[in-house]
Amino acid sequence: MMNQEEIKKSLWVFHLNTGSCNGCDIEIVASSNPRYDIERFGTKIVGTPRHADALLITGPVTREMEKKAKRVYEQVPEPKLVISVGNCGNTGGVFYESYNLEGPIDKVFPVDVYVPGCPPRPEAIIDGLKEAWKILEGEEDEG
Amino acid sequence: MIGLETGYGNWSPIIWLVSLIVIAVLILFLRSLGKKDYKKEGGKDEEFFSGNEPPEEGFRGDYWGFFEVFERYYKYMEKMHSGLINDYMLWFLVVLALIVFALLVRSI
Repeated sequence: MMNQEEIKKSLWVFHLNTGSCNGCDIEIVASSNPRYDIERFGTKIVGTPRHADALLITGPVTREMEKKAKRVYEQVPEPKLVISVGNCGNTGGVFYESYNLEGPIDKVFPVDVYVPGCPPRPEAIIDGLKEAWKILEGEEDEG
Repeated sequence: MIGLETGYGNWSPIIWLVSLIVIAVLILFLRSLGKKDYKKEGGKDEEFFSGNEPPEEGFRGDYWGFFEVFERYYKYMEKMHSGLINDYMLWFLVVLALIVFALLVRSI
């Protein structure tokens, strides 16, 4: 686990539900409550993709949500990351090969971090955020 | 020092000028910290509308629903806000007269 002293910049995320049952969304909310408190690592859930460094996506991307998800993805400034939260987003989960899916998420746009679980626990989501943060910090150091 | 002492405080154009320069330098400094390679393509500079395409006509920011519902009220209010100082002074006098009238009626 990283030390808080190591964090130079804050990772702001935008949460997007592309057809999730809300299980993963509730865990994301739980990760920002005082018990897990992602804000102590500088991570904040923002209200618009234009303020975000990463997308926190739940759900398997339904047909109706594909265009909207792509638009939201486009609106995140570079460099950006996509964190897929939950089995539905990672593989399609119980909706795998459903007639109404355009996903899983990596079929619609590139995914950088996969967080498995149905739903994943807040610890797993925090771990995924840490991985995303490491990727972004690495890019900063290189470029 | 150039300035105006009003008895309640002082006003100096030099202080204003220095403040404006300091603020401008701060703004330019913060702006220079931004990403140089930021691209506006792909709807990045469009309004965020929950992933939907913003309507071309009549889109008025995040409060569009609010404006939509109160459209009749706003159109009515816009007529009153003509932008002419004479009209505003007239409103001021009418409201003042009403308040004075109400106070007079109450005191009788």
